[in-house]
Amino acid sequence: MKITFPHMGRAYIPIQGLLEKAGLETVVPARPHRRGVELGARYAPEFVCLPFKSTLGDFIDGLEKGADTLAMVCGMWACRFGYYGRVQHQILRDLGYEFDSILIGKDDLMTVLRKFISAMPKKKRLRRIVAAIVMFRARARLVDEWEWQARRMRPVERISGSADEVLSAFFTRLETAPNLRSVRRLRREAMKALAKVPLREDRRPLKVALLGEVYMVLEPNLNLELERGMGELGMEVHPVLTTYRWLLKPFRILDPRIELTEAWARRVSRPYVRYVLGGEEHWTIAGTIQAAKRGYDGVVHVYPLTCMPENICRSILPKVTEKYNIPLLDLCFDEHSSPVGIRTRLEAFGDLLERRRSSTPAAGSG
Amino acid sequence: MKIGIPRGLMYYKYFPFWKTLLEDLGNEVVVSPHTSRRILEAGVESCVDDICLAVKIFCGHVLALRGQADCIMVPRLVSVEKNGHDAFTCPKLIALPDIARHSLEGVPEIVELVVDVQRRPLWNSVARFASNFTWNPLSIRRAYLHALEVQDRYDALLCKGFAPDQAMKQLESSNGNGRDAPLPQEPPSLCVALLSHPYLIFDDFLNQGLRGMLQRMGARVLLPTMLDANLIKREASCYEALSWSYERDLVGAASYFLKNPEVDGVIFLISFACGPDSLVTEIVMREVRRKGDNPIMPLVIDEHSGTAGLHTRVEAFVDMVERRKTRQVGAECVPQGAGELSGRASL
Ligand code: SF4
Ligand code: SF4
Repeated sequence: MKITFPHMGRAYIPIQGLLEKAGLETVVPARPHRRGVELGARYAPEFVCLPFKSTLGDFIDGLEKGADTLAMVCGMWACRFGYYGRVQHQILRDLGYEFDSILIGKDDLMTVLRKFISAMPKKKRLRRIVAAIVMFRARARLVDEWEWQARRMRPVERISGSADEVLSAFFTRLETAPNLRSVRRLRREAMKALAKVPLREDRRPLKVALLGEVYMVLEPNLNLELERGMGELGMEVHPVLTTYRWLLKPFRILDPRIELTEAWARRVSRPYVRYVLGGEEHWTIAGTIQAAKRGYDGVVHVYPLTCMPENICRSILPKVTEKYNIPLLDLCFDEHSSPVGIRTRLEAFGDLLERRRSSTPAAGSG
Repeated sequence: MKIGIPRGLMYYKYFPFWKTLLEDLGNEVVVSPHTSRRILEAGVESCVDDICLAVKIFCGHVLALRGQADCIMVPRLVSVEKNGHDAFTCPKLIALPDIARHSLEGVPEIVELVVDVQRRPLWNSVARFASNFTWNPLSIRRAYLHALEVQDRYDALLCKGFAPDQAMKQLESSNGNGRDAPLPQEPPSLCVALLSHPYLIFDDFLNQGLRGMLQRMGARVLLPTMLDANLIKREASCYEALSWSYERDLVGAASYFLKNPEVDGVIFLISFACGPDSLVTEIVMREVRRKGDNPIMPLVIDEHSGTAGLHTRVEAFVDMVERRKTRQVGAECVPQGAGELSGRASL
């Protein structure tokens, strides 16, 4: 059994760790790129949301690299995401691919586990599972930690791009880190290497919250390296949703904070969206309110074209940002979005924030 | 109190219920006028670009009620059935009052009727809603039962093929049991089924009079509302469940239409930027089609101007269906790949 799974930011590093530690063979598709997305878009329904097209492209790539099992989370949610796996696998079968599909969430848990376990090597299964989960968590945390470091350093580095350069090498090494010890060693080395990156101490970056549809927030290749672009423009990015949170949500017991903050977000966003819509609507609204209360300089809201929950949020957000007095930039992405257009809008937004900050010197130092 | 009801989305499905309920509770009901270019434009202007056309039109209707009513009733349909599985409606229907309240300028107070059958029975929701207007539980109960009964009669009329406007008129005029005149339709030479949500099928501005157009082309028009609810459920149960209730019904209806030899062709009417339907179309075209071979054409409507498109596409489709039928009659069902057309039309 060779498993492939779609990309979502750097989630593949922990997931790969999980599966490989368990003794399963994985095929990681190429990182989403123009051609992959276009390929997905060719076979996907025209009006479906962008993550569908991109993950379909990933599956095709994985299959072409020799995978024979496709894994995908799915569920019975109000939003389209719940049906991604089912429709995608149907499309792929119609294209003539043959594979076994594991739809985590639709097939009940036991069936899924049994499928995985039966593919594992016979010996020491329990130990492997424990090791796999430990590895998963360790990698997820390290990815998270590095991503946060990059976010903090980008706006203040002397040579732009230097932190990313250091980290991208480490990310590649983390992909192949075989055990916990090597993960820890990588962490130490990265810390040392990052400490050497020259920073400008005099600069006070703008604090900007990044929120919206989780896939667009997390996948740099689809949001056209948004975080990096914002960093270069002097914004310290604070995404409400991180890969870590998304990955560990199903394993709440590993980190109770996730459950608590989830409930908090629902409560705070209740006056604006009263019911669960199946997306990240509560985080979008609650994140905006939180950003304003913490004195951030602005919020950037990203979502794929025709995304239902985020469209609803976008209708409501102007009211929220007006009430809490915080500037908002909406960015809507599809497979034709151009980096130049996004860049221009970001620059204009950055200027606005700078001007706003200099006119109210007290605010903004949250 | 004067309560406004926007003529959009689920108006076409549940209006008699809402109206009876509100009137029995001592309110006056005003409905926004039929969709017009003005309403469409107001809606498009006040909404986010890439939200579905149906919601834009709904917002236009809410805006049209400004100054006409003391408050506006916007339904919040979270779930409409309880079947042991998850069941929802489209996220936009779930958040409809939020959208109306927070994104439209200068609208009066929005009262919402929350229907969440998964969590509480309809009666409880109605009782909560009605306590806005009266304290008397007995009159609420009476109004509720009356409303249910009127709604049943309305559904029966729709099932016979009446359009909502006609059906409502009948309900008013003769308490619903008067003339049972079915629609003035020619004995069928050709039968085309229109697969879609009621708010797309029955809004004649939105779909540019598609039903009339088909009739003029000599086709009998079959609608999902004319099918028995149980039949739809039975058909839908052959497929893996969808948790969007209305979309599951669409899949059921599609399955029936595609298999039924009486139906010569199916037009799947889709609102631009509709979330659920972007996937449901795919499910219908891939899974459901496998079991039936009637021709089907997805037809997407968006708000940009230019009228000729839709007419041409529909005409081409009807022609194709007609040719296919005469051929079949001649050659006693030679299995043939039904030609497929797809179209995108603009308002
Ligand atoms: S949240 Fe948006 S992008 Fe994600 S599945 Fe739903 S509609 Fe698509
Ligand atoms: S089902 Fe489609 S057309 Fe209807 S409200 Fe939802 S998105 Fe709009």
